[in-house]
Amino acid sequence: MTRERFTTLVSGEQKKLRQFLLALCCGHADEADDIAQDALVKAYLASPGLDEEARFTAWLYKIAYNTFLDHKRSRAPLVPIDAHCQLADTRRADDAFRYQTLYAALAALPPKERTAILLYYLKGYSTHEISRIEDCSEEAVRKQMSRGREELKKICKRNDTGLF
Amino acid sequence: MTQDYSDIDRLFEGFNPEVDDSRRFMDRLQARFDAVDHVRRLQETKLRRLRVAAVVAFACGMTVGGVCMALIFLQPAGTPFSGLRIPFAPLVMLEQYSRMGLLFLLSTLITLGVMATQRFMSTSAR
Repeated sequence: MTRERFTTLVSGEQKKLRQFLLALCCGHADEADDIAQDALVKAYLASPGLDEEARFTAWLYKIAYNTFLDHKRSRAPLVPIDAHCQLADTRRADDAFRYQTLYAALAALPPKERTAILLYYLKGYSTHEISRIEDCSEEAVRKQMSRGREELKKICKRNDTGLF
Repeated sequence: MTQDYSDIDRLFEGFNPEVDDSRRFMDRLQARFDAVDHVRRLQETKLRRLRVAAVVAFACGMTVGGVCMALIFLQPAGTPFSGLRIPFAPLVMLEQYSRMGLLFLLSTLITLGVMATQRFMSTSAR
């Protein structure tokens, strides 16, 4: 794949990828963009090995997910999780606040469950596609989804966010 | 048992987080691609120079080795390299195997020469 072709494909997908990573990083835009940049450079380096262009998006998300995990492993969290929970205490009606609340709830989920939930709800991926991105079985994805949803419900109810 | 997750569905309804300027992001990405391409080009140049160095070293080794072996084996088989006629066993043995000894010494020198050439080329390629 040439650089021009790769850039064209990335241009069409970068916004959604960044949105996904922004949600995965629970609203930390700088961190999400750094991960997106690293993931896209990794993808560019690996692009000669990509046989099917049709699989480009799923392949890109797999690289982004792995880069996110590497990033999480290599860096200590800059903001303690309690700080996110405090955000959820206040009641505000605007969208920004709504996202803050959702981010706070997402932050409490383990990375795999968070990824499965976001790929399902944000990207509309099936469990089969998520299992390929996360490199695990479909059954494992279903369990992650189930646990993640239950956890989200509990957190939102516990924090009395007004989302339910 | 099927769980009701409609509330979770509602939670994500209209979830469309805003991201910063796409053009700035793409410009930054292009700059990183430029850097990647630059490093790739440097690595390719280095690899090409190392390949050339290996071929040159091999050719030099073969030529020098061939010339030296030819010089050694052109000597009449019974002719020792030294003209000493001392009846001392170690010296007689050295005299008898002088051809092999010289061959071994030359081979070692050629090997060291090839290794030094490669090292020099790889250092200059950096």
